[in-house]
Amino acid sequence: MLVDQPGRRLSRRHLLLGGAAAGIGAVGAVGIELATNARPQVVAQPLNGTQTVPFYGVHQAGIDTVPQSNATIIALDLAPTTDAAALRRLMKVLTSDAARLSQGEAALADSEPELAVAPARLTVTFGFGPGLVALAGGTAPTWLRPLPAFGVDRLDPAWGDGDLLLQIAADDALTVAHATRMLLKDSRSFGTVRWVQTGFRRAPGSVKTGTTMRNLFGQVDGTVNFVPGTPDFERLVWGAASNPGWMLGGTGFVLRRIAMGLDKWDKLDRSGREASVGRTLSNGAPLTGTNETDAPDFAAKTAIGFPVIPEFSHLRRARSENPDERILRRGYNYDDAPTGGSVSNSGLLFVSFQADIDAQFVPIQRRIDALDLLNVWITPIGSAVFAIPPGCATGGYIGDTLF
Amino acid sequence: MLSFPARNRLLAGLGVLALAAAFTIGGVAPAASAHDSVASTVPSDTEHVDLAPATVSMRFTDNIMQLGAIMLVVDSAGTDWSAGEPALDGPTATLAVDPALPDGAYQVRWRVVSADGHPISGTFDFSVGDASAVATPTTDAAAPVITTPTDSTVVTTNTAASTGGGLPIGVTALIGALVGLGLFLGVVALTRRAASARQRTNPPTTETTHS
Amino acid sequence: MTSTTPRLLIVAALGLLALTGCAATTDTASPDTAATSTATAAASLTITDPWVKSAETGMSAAFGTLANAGDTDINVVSAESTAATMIELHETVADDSGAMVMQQKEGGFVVPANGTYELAPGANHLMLMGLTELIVAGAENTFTLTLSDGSTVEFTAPAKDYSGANESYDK
Repeated sequence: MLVDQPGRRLSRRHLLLGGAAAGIGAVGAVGIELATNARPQVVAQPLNGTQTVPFYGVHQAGIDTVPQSNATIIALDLAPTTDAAALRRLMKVLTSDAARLSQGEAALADSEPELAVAPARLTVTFGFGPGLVALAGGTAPTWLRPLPAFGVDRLDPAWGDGDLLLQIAADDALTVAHATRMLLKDSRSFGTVRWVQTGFRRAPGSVKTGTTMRNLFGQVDGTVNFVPGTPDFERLVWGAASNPGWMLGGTGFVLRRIAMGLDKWDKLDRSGREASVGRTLSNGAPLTGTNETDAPDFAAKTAIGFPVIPEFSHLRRARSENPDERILRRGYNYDDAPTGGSVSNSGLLFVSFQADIDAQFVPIQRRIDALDLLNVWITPIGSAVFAIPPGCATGGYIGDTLF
Repeated sequence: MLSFPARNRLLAGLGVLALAAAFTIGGVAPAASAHDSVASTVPSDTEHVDLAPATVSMRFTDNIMQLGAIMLVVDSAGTDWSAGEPALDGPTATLAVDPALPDGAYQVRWRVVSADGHPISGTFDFSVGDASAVATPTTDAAAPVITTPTDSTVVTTNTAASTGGGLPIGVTALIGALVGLGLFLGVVALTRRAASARQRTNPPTTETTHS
Repeated sequence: MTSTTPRLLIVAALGLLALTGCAATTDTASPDTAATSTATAAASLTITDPWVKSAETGMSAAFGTLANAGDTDINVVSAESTAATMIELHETVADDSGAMVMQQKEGGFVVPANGTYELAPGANHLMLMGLTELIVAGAENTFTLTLSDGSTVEFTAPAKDYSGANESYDK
């Protein structure tokens, strides 16, 4: 679902090749120019910025979309004066903004329309908190509530909860900033910003598309993930039959702001780092394998009989025997300004999508909470849960199944 | 970039320097890592005791984490004679032993997580009563240098961990230096192989990864 | 004074660009469905991306891009809305000192044959006076344009919060 125009349906590989070809072409053209003194040939180069992700559809974009390089995730608190009718108006306005900006069109009343011309796969994904669903008079999914308290949590309310979620992502930070500005301008009559969390991955073109993200510990992060279009994805991301009818085509969203103690991590040597997660740093392979996607062999033992992948490693703890206890991870790194004499304020915006948060996310987190060596270096400091409503058809608006 | 011959000479020189340094340092400092290491064990390594001990215990150089500790008391047949889980208290780990422990030779196999979060593991041996007629444990107790296929655990020798007997500290240092040199040369070899593999790699047109 | 003119041009130019974009949810008023008259002028006139500036009291303004698909010019002579007691057709021009001022457009808006006519902040617009109620963001407001041949075109414009262009609608 990368590009909506068949003529521009290019894989990243093609783009790279195209860029390389363009470069070679340019060199060749310069050569011709030097040899013949002719006018150099201008070679068009495909641009990341022109790529678009369809906005309208059964599902919202930004979930099964290949993760973009930059994301700003925002929670709004609705104003006390915002009633159900106002909420409907808000969602119509924001839907219009998102639909237009994602296709490279300026929003209505866009003060900086020039910034809209490079959508760079912009997606805006909306989520509803329990307060919003109640205000709309809808039935909330049973899991739409704060996660249970975990022992490792050191939650700061400043990074938690909220009524309306905006996940704004694109392969261009300026595009994200403009969309953020536009959406927040159009939100301010209805509510206030509760928190903004900004994250990043590799820039487009830096590594091959499909390369698993690395976090700021240097670890390959998110190897085991659903593939869009597969039965697993359909069932465990879009699926839950227990969700209320207005959620059909929607899913559940979890954001955990996880501080990563880089200074403490510095003190751990490479083998210790690998043991903590159960994967190699070089390519993310399980300690029992050679390639990233090799299945871990939890039965493999060291020479004196201990598991090669320690039972307290993150890989082991996050893995469930129950195949239903899986989630779609779509996180981002954050690297904010340090405070209090520290030199780092970094971590992971852990984002996961799952049809039933109680059945899928919570058991995983409980196992990690109970025993996971990685907890030595990471601390959840923010937590938020939202219901992601389905997408909408042209002419509709996000949330129109709820209102 | 250096030519290969030049780099080989440089590497060889570095290896010699590493060895020399190891010998020099070996006299004053054990070849220990920054992690916790074993300060003492009861019984001590290779100790012979007349009566079966009720417990075996280990003391480390720093507190160990209340996480992931394993201790086993294994006989020559591979049977584990531990009774329950090790009890952790600060820098110590104590394991109850089956009271029916017969005379014989035993190996304690242990893994703990050091204060910095690094799992470490190793072994030490002891024997009980009339152990002369009993074979030693089946695992390679004579050279209990433990590595995993991916080197995920710290190499700990029984000699470094024990307080009584064992090899002279300089020999330990030599072993450490040799292991280090081996790792170093291994990395160099792998790097070379990777580099030559890259050279062999076809142009990007053969890449098969698609978005 | 010179600083405003390029901006106006850019706004106008982008409006034209917007015309080529695909329709969003708030787009409206194709002649087939929105025209309340069978007159030929209304049948040729559409408005793309209409919106109205939210306002609490007094005055506001509505914008969008008028497009004429016909072969003759279309003259918009007046506009009405339930949102305001009176609507004037305004243009923004430079006065003798160079400052941009709004004034009623003599003779109304002329949408050229096979062309467009841009209504945008800081430029031509529908001036809403005597608001009948709050114009709140996201609310949809219905407008009726009357053309010189007496035919009318109706469209719906969502309200958006907008504080741009520093316009004085009180003039």
